[in-house]
Amino acid sequence: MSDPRASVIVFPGSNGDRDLLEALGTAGFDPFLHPSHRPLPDDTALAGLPGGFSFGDYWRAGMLASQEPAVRSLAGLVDAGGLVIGICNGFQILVEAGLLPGALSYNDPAGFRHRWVIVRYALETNSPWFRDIPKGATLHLPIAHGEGSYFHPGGFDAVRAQAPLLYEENPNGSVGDVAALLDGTGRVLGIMPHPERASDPDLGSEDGSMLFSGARSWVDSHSKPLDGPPTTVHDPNDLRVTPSITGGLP
Amino acid sequence: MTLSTETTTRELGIAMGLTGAEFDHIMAELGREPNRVELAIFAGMWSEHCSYKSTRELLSALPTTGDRVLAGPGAHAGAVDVGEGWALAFKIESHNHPSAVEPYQGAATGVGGILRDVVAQGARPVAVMDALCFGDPATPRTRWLQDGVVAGIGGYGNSYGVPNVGGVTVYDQRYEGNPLVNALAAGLVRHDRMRTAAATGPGNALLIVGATTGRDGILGAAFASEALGEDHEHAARRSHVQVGDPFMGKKLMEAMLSFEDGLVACQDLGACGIACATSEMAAAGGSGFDVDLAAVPQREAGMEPFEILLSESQERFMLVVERDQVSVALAHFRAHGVHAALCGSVTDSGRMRVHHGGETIVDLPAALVADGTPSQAWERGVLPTPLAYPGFAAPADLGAVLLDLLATPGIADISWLYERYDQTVGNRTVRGPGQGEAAVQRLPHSVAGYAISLVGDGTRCNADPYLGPQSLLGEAVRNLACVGATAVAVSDGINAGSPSNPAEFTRLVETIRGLGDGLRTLGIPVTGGNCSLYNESPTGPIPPTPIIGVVGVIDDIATIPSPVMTSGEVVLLVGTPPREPSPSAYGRLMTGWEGPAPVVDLEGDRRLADFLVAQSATGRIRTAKDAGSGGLAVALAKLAIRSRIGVEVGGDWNDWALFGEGSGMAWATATEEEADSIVEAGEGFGVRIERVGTVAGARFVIAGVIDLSLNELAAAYSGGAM
Repeated sequence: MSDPRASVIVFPGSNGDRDLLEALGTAGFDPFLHPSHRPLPDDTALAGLPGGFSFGDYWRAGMLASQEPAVRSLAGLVDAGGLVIGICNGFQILVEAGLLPGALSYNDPAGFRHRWVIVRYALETNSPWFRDIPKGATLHLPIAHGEGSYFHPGGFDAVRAQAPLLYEENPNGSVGDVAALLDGTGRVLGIMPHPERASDPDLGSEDGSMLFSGARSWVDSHSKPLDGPPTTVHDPNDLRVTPSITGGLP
Repeated sequence: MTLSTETTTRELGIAMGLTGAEFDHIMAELGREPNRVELAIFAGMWSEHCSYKSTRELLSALPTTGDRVLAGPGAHAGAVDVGEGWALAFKIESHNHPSAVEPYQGAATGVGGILRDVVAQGARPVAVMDALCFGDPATPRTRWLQDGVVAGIGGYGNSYGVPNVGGVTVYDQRYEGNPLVNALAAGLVRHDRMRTAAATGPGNALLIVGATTGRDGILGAAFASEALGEDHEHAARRSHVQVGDPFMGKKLMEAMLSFEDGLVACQDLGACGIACATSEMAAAGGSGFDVDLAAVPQREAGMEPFEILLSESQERFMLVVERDQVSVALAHFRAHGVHAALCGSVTDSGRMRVHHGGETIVDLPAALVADGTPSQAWERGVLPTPLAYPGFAAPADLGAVLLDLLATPGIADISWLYERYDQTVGNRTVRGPGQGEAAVQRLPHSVAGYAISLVGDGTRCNADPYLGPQSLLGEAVRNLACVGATAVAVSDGINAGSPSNPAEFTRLVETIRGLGDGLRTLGIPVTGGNCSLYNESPTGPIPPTPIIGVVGVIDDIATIPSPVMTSGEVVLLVGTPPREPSPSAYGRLMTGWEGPAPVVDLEGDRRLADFLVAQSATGRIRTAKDAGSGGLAVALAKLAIRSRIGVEVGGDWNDWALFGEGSGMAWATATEEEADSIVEAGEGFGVRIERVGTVAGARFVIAGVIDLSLNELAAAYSGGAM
């Protein structure tokens, strides 16, 4: 059986796409870069929305990206039992697309912030993303965002049961220290810190890799094999390859 | 063919910034008067900013060859072999004048511009570093400048997706009217995929890709080639400043790096825009161009030909593409969401011909425009005399001095500043800002890596412009050694005052001479860089300020020293503390005294570096930190603060031993089991090294002179930040 296919959705301004591709590959997925202007391929077992500035995000982050065909096809993937992770800008897009509740707004205190933070796994959940993480564990992950302050009109109580990771020291003013959010199925995860950048001890931490390995083992135990056509082979020494990211301008 | 019939005059040329002699030279070479458009091209291309007419002879004396050099000065960006078939393309550029009048966009486009140089070389950008020099940090003006510059650097780099991995920030009154914003960018490219600017093959097509061409940044090169005026004049200068669009820059970078078939040459559009790119590409390839200006995608209607030619609109490249690949190329770039247009072709005429509305409006020898600027000679003067040592008694409480130094702007914690920059995007950063003496990144799918140290200073060069840059080189080599890296190549950014001032020109000459001699002593070549003159405001010139970026290589990143000490480690002192007064943060703190010449021993620095690298490679060095600004005491205090653990050090210390600055000094720590063998190994390298203490507890103790709690140190260090 071939490894399950993982689509990394590439928006024109994505910049964490390769990092996510690598982390998913390490976890045992068969990942590929997928341009956002096309719906997801049918054999996708997991879709990843990477960090970055999807359409420049000069306006509200993720707003334009949420209208892309690949994002619109995510609901179908979830209905079919697939997994979705949105990291940083990807989290913003999932919220804008209505796949996760609430909103992500400007950091408080204001401004872009990069920092290594500690988040605590504080939820009893069957989510595939957390099956490798013991309850109460803390993860060491970097954040890098300017619009990561989570808000919900009902306050923290409205999302407490969906908030798996909480900041030990709140860096951005998020309600209830929320650092990540699950949908009702537990299969859609939005996360502001970057687990894909914490998947290698030489680069500071490998705590993030547990999310991807959990997802990988869940796919083996829960979904039927998803066979597809052979994947594009990514030469690891080729830093040039990217999919063309628009349908072509007029 | 018709040339514009509008005639021009010598006076107009001079009004545009040319010298009378330069105008006469143009007349002699052309055998006719240039028309107004041609004159504007010469005024831009022969400005100091583009032509290096005052410095190219001086810079040509720098050593530029070495085993690892794959591309040297003259390439888009210098490139060195960093192992496993990878080249690191890297270069420093300044954006001082634009940042002085419009800090956000000035700094943002400075970053964007240097990233395009790296992309033009064919490399994927992997790191940005910045060197910033501001005036008094307490003034509202400095805060406005600093906030804007930092936001601009972050705003561009964060969105583009290149990590900022460190740099240097200097505060000194003499930058009050003329801050410095220098950025270094680095990118990775396979050896065999580097690109050239040489346009060849008559009939090949000229393409312009990226953003549209607008009226921004016109005459920016000329603006950068004169001294800054009074503050109230800055508003009128803002139209010379370009506006960055990192989203377009990112799309363009991806499109450029993934386009290969039929690509003959490429160049980014920076200063003097299309005029510069076409003349330089033609000159480099010994060819010419016919350019159709009307085909250039324009942002607004009614642009004058000279505006299209000299526009410095950001996020653009010009490419030379084989004729049968034109439609493929246009489709490729448009599919990546950027504009692309066929706007000319390569000729064998050697001439840069520009057509507009059925007329030939420019017909000039490309080599004359690109490389023909006559060198400009300036009168030399007498160097200012360094201030005599005023003499002062050591304060009784040296602990209080240490706290004052830790709170000094330039030494104090600036993690708040680096937090504004993404440091880890791209998954390569092994040591980012504040995590080591130099930035460290890993090669793709490898255990090998490279390190970059960016250093800069005006104080030491003010005291002695010849030794100042050597002192900086020594510092960079030590920094690299502290992360286990061997220095292999340099990119230099020289910032100086107006060469028309004989004393300033002499300081510039001495700075470059000192740099060259230092590089030869160390056996390290320069692969490119930048020279920014006319850094003067009505309050006077800046001190000569070289910004030096040094690249080092690491065989195995798993063995390099840790950022933090742990309890029980042995503290080792490498080198000999100074006993005499030296130019130092301590001297400035006590009396404002800066001189005399810095104490430099590059041979000693090299021995120290060889020793630390060799010991690091065995994994035996637990931590290493060299003495920089504030001397040995500040270095050890910073290491203790970062490690959140105390130290107790013995020995015989006076104030200059603690706080004096010079070559060949560092701290290292090792386990008890390894310490003796490291000390023994020192002999073989000619390095003096001794066990002086241990890592433990929560106090910072240097026997008989300093006894402070870690909390006191940390409070001073972070409280001194702005």
